[in-house]
Amino acid sequence: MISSRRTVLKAGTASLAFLAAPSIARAQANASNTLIWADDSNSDVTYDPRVTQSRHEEQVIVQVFDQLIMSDETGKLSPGLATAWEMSPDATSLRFTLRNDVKFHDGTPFNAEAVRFTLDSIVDPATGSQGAVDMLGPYDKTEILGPHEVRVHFKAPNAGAIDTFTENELSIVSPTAVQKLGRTGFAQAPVGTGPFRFVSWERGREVILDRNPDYAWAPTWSTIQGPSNVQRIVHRFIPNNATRVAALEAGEVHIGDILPALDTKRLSDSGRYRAMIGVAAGLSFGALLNTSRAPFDDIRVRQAFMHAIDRPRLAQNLYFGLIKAAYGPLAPSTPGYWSGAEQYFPFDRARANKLLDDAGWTMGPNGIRVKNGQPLRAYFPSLLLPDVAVALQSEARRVGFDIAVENVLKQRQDELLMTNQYEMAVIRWVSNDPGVLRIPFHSSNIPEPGKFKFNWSRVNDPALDGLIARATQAKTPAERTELFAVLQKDIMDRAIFFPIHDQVQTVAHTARVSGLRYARGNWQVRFHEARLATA
Amino acid sequence: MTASVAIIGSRHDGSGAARFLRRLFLHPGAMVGTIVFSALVLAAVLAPLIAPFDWNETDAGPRLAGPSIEHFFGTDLHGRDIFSRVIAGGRYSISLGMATVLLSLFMGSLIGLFLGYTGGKVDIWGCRCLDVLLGFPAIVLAIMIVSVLGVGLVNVVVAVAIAGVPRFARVVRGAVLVAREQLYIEAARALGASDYRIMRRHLLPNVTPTLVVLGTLDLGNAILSTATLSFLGLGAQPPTPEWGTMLSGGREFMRYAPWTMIFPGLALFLIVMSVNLVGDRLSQVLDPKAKDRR
Repeated sequence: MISSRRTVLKAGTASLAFLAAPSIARAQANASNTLIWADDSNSDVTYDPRVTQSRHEEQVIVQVFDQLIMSDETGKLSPGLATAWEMSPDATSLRFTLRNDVKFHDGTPFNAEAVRFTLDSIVDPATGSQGAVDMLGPYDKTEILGPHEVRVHFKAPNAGAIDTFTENELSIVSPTAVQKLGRTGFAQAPVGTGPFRFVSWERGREVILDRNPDYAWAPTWSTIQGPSNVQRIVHRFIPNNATRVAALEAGEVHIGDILPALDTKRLSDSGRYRAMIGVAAGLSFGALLNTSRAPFDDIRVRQAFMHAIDRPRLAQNLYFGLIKAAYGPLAPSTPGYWSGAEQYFPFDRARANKLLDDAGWTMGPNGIRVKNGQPLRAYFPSLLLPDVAVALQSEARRVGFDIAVENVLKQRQDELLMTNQYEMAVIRWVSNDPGVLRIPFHSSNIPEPGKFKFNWSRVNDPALDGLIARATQAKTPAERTELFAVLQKDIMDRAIFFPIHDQVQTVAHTARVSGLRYARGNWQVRFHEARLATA
Repeated sequence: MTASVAIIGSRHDGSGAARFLRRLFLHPGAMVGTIVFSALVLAAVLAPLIAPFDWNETDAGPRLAGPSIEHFFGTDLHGRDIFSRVIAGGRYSISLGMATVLLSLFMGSLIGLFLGYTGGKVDIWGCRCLDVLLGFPAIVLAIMIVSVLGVGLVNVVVAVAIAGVPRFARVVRGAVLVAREQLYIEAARALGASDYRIMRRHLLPNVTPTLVVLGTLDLGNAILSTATLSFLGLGAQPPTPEWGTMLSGGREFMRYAPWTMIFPGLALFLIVMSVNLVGDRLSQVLDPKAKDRR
């Protein structure tokens, strides 16, 4: 009660001071060594790592929790809550030796029981896990070998498991806190072992985190081993782009999440701000072409569409050099990325025209190709990035291909996808695991009425399913990399996914802040090592 | 009643229509409004002839380039000519506004006539329903309707029209309540005229001036509302050059390429202003209590 009242009071004086003179507000933020982050959402629901699937929620989670194995932004592993780990030769179990000097923020000691509780509760359907349960994959059970030693068993080989245990979603939660607060209560007041502890959450306005003064288990790659230099983090929700930029420039916040490309460029050129550009791992931003309906049921039409678009130019034009074109289903920052995809579908309008001619689509009088009286037309319900849709539409038209773009709301998009009333749709997915390819390409994920899934190309081929199964169940990392390369080549050969551009996280912060680091996957920013210089 | 005597007796300045038009337009506001409105409508109609570029052609010029001799209003993110898009945009924005008004006028008058003439319980309950709808800001109501119908220009017209219906219905009902107590209605009824005939032949003509004024005043509103929905991404679909959509597309570049927002915004401002100027004067001229006012 006292703390929340103080928060309100502080927020009130801060905004008053801001109105009077921005410099006063800055000085105040400084004195208390508070770091203020502007998040581009205000729809957070849960801060339970076991449940979440939202990068916004994970921006809070990454400060509050630790993982068994800690990864830096480049994928370099370090002991986290586990000091050592060992995969069994058949890749069906993973043994962890745990730290014995760690306490949760509520005082509960961290031990083997906490690991078992966390993992068991993730696969419990009652938890409603959206992300973590898929990451655990063929999880069977956790065997307690000693107070600080566990063996995690899988039902099938899981060579990627070591990487998986670096994911935010597999953070270890305090069992006593979950039992005391219940699932809903825990989601609103999470308790972990991380460098910051959760203080309060005023919905739609801000989340407050205070530093964990006992933190002494930082990963080896961290430049700070003890507690953070920052005392308090204010995670403020400012979903509007222009408002977020203005807040940053007024000194009201120190760091701004996802800023428009031109603003990011201007701010970093000014010298008073620094930009952090991270290429997110996972699926590139791209279009899935519906192979179950004309005209994309013909591979020549799919290939022609891909050859018709000049991706490097599109990315340069729309993002001013901040975002690069993508060439394969996986972003280059994803483990197992296959660079062979870069040779596919270079911009070649003549070839696109030839492919369409060969497929029997002849140029009609109004500049749109026709075949058997039907125009060459693809309906594209577009939810994300309207400017990309406009660019695709105009480029495709130059080869006589009419892309009928309709900007839709999420609910309408989902309905169209489930009832198979679309020819293409765009997707993006942040993940540190190449196994993410299962989500849009496995036949079990073809959407149906009432079942919203992500195989929007609707490719249904046991051969492709087999490749996915073999790659995700590889026994050694080398075999896994090789099998995922084969899988990526197969996807490119089928011409079912048109990679458009990398997914990029653009963060800008005042030059006074240093020591920010992306978490793995390049979406969340870690604040443990941050420092705030005096103005 | 002295007013009508004065009209017949005192002036001999041509037919009623010419007199009406003169009174309407010999007024600085209305004149400016008419000229601006006509210019925008003419530009929209003749857009294919006078637009220097195909309004959907990307790379018609450099991206986000400022106004120049070649591109009067500059270019947008995709290198499209904003001048061409603004004049072509009038085709959508103006006709959408008009369609919206006609639709709400039609539905509103029907409901208003029915409630006002029927009276009794039907009227009381109907009016309460209208009051509830009036309680919602029109744009919020329209957004709710679009989210049910789905996005698209036709749906936006329907949504904004429905949101406008309560206003029209209330006004028409009020006018009908006054008119139906007049002697000639009683006379018509005594002569055995049907309800339908009374409404169509006697009541409707009497509320027509009110409807004309209301419709004109509402046109500006309707254009603005349809543009608002398009701005929110619920209306025009790419690459349609609708003004609201253009404003929305230029939002992110306001600081760097203000012309992407200024010109569609200006067009929207001018059309709404001109329609309102004419509407204001129209309401003065058609006001029976002020027939002699200039």
